[in-house]
Amino acid sequence: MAVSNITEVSNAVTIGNALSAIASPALVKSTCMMNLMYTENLPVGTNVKKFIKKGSLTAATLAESTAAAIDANGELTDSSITATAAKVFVMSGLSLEAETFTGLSVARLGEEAGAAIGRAVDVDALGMFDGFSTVVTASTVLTIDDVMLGQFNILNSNCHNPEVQLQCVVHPKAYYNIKKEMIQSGASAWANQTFLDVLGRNPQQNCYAGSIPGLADFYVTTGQATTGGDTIDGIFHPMWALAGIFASAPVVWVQRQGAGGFFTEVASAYLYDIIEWNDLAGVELDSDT
Amino acid sequence: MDPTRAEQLALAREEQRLKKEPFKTLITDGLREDTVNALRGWVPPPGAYILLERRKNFLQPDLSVRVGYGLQTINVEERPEQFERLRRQVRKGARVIHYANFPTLNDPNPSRAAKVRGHSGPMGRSPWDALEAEVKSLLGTNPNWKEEKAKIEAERNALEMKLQAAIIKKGSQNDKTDNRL
Repeated sequence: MAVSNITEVSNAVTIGNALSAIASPALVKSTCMMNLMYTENLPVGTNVKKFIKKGSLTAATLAESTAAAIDANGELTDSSITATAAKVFVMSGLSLEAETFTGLSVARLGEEAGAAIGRAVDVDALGMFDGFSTVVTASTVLTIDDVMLGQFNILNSNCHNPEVQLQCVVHPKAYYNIKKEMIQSGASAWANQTFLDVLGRNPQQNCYAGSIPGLADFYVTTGQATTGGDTIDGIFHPMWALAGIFASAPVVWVQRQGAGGFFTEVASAYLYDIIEWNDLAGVELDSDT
Repeated sequence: MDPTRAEQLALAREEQRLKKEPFKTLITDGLREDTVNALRGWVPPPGAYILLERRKNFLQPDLSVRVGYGLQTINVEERPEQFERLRRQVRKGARVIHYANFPTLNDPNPSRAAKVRGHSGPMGRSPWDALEAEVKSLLGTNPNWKEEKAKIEAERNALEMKLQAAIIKKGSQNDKTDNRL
């Protein structure tokens, strides 16, 4: 039975809320793709930039005392892929009350808008994987052999700079299965510390999750496209598969709005475009969703 | 080598998926078997997208190549100005088979409507509308003509049968009249 007239917490004047010393970050994806492609600044005076693809000539044998003529083998034709810069944006408003009485600020909104733009660009880049013409479909889950098949196709396509380590961007599920394969495999390579970088490492904030020497650097992220039963990952050459034009930084406009309702409008926009520069310098890796 | 437990489960899941009805695309005529299988259990992305069917080279474990078909999704939710990317894929042989969820100025979701206003410029022209026009032109005026043709033929056959039945009925009535006379 409740006792009357006891002095309780509700009799006192207290602070409504106290805040923890740190705030948990938003659990949203990290970004990685912008560092894994060839990039240039936005062009000046136009939003279009052509990424050139060199053509080549073909040599032919010629018998002694035979006239040679200019033919198609000697016609040099370069081609190009067009990148057209367009914007992504985030529009926010911060009320006078929120700015005055809370810890939220215009700077914080700008910071979060930058992160959101980064994620949008990343998802756009991840969406390029299903544009590659060559596909390796894992029979069920992704295996190291599937990744090696991808590497084979890139090398077999005469992709330049084969000395550069390929980049393999995978979903956490594929990463799990690669790690599991390393643990369960009895192959001697996986008893060698040099080959166990992926197994022994945790993913970093830029998604880098380790390397398998002679094969690829691994990046783990989410946001990939899917087919019916597969998630679409990719292995590609960081110099020649994808390219992009990027503004040096997002544009942030801060406007005070009085008549509109006493708030500060924070408008952030970023201009960029990503293109598939060389189809054969990348391979789509499909594995179980 | 016997499949592991995880592989067994994955194979069972795949078997179940292949029993599902394919996702209904705007174009159904002439979809390749690979594409139809890829569409079984396919979950569309949450935002605006364009779906293409394209030829793909499936690399096999013995390093041979099987030429087949697959899906390609172009996500246009955040950035509608992707005409060049779409045209390039079509030039490479891809076929637009579906598009959906394009935001509009009067979108029921206010943040999507605001997004359209943000991309529309001072003249208020939504780039998604322009993209939709482009996509429609790539889909063709009547993409499912075989389906339409079959429907019209079925209707014609039904009408012809009805007509025949009416003629027969009228004929038998005339016979009866003749008998009376």
